[in-house]
Amino acid sequence: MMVTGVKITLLLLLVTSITSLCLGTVIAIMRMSRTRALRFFGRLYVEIFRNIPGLFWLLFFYFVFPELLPYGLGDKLNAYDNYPIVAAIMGLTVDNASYVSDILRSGRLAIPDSQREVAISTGLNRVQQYLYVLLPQMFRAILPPLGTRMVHNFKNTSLCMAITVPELTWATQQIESLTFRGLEATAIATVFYIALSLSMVAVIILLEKYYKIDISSMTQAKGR
Amino acid sequence: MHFFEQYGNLKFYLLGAFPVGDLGGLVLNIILAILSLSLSFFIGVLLGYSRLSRRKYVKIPCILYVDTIRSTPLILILFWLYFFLPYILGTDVSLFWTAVAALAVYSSAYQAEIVKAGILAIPKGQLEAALTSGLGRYQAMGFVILPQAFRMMVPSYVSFFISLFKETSIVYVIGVVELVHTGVIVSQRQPDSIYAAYLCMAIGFWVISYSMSHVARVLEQRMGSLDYESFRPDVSRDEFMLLPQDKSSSGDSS
Amino acid sequence: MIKFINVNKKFSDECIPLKNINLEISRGEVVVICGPSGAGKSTLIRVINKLETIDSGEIIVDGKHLSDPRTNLTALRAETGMVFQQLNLYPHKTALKNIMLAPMKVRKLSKREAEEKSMKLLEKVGLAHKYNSYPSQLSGGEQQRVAIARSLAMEPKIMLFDEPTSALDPELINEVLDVMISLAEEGMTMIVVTHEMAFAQRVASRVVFMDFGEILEIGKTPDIFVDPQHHRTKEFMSNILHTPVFCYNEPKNK
Repeated sequence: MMVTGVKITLLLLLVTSITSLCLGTVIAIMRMSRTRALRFFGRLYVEIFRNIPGLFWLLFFYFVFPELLPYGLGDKLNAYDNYPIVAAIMGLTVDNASYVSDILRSGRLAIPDSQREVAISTGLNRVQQYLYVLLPQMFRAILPPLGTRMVHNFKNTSLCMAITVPELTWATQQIESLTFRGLEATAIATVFYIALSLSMVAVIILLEKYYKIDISSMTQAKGR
Repeated sequence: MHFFEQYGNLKFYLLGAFPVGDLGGLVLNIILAILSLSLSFFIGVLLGYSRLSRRKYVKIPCILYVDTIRSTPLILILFWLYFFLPYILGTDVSLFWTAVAALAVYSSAYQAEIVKAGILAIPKGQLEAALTSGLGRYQAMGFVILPQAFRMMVPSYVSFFISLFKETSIVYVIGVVELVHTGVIVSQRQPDSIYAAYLCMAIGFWVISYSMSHVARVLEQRMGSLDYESFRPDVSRDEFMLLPQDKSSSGDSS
Repeated sequence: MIKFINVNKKFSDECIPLKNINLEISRGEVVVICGPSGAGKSTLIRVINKLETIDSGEIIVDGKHLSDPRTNLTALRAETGMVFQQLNLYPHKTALKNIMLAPMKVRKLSKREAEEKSMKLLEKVGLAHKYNSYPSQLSGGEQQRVAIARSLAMEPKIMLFDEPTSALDPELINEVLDVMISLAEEGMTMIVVTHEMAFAQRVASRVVFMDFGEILEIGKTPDIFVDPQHHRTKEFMSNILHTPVFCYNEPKNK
């Protein structure tokens, strides 16, 4: 049970990291677009999803979402064995994406405007500006906050126990109710969470070190 | 739409079964957040302050505590206290106080980070000035550094309070009847009104959180914000702040 | 080469960076623009590149009208090199890669061609040995020299300099000016916003004095220093010519 739990937790972590990064990027692009309507909807998304807890979105996708679908599609979903996992992925994604989009946007704002101007004045077009000049710098600027967000997201996967996803935390409670050896199970789970969180942090710090030259020069360029 | 029929349940969403039974609903979320934040305030300040200590036997346990708590999901902290509080205290502990204790433990670690970031954000010239004007080290901290640091911490505190407020919904899993639990109960008792119940939950959280984040934004614009969320290795300036005697401008890097 | 016809630009009633600008610059000329800060000097050269738009009037660069929608802006920009006041090499690329980027992506040179060309340019600005350094490892003067090389890599017909030395420490200014002087002597068309009057005296064919968005005086090089006509120019010159840089160059003039 614990092993499946670990597997599902890792699956949730992996999938939601990727999906929320994609969705977050889309939202961030919307929020920085020149079209007013897109900006409005991007902002609306963030304001809605950031101000309501992740647990709510999990419950929402688990209980309410199938009801909203027309033509018995919801019943099919409810009958689907792994629907809790699907709901969990959707819930975690929409919650995390709002934070990710904020981080991406702040990363764009952190790059001095002159960088874009140089890129323009050497004749790069809009796509090239982003591809070769802005995005690589954005990535470096947002590395620490983005990493932290991913650790948060990892910890949030534990919320999925509330919608009966058989992930690690759920497994510990199951073991407790079946065998009364919940304490050991919880201890193992805690160690697992701490170990994985800290190793994620370690990876972030290593990446940061690897790109250190660039980050220091960025602050210099900004300071002048 | 059964939204307006939920009017009859409004009291439950806001207060739970309060005058008759236990307090619940949205007010409980707010109370949980405020209570746990204020209970852990001094622990947080102490932890944050000691994290910057130069004495290893003070610093290392603090770092261990803070990083352990910060890398454990709140749910697991909740379960640990659920198991252990009765053992430690020798009596039964109500669900409410278990929830408060877990949230307090959780927020103490984050507050430690806020305090640390706040102290580090004060230019070191301030400490040097205080020391050269004849204040002792603890006087300098108490009268010069900490008051300034607290002012810088206010926006971070507000934004942490918002996220703590949202995290209080997690106590749902041990059966505390706060807003999410209320909504779930209502939606199960009256399956017709499931949309309305979820809408009420969402509005409850949204209104409080949105208005608070508005406050946070204004404060942030006025005072700037601190980076307390990210995990970071301790920087060299830590050494400087609390070292026993003078060894100033050692780890100097502008 | 560049022609301003009745160019106007207005941010608000108080802030009018360009007022009725008429100016013609011919091929191979070096024009220095000076004036107090906020006079509209930077705006004057930024509109040539269309980094900023104008409200009325017409700018003709190399026979092409900037307001004409058929003008290929990207191509035009590629032929106009620009060096900014801020040090803004791409921080995530080495000196060589900084120079190579635009030739490869815009001019579609092969990697080897771009590399050869970039190395030549680095030699020209005297930094061939630093090709593998990141901007953070270069001094301010070196960064500006690489920035000049980066603009030259596009083989521009016009070079625009927006106070290229004003962010630098005094001892680093001359190395940048030397590069600019050699560029002028090769016959490049240059528009330079600067307060380095020694530089102006040495290479400028004309000096434009601006204030409050207006061109108050245009003078051939020695004349405007020796005998400025407008009273604002007189004031400005007498302020700025008291700098040691001028004293150092004074004998040459007399």
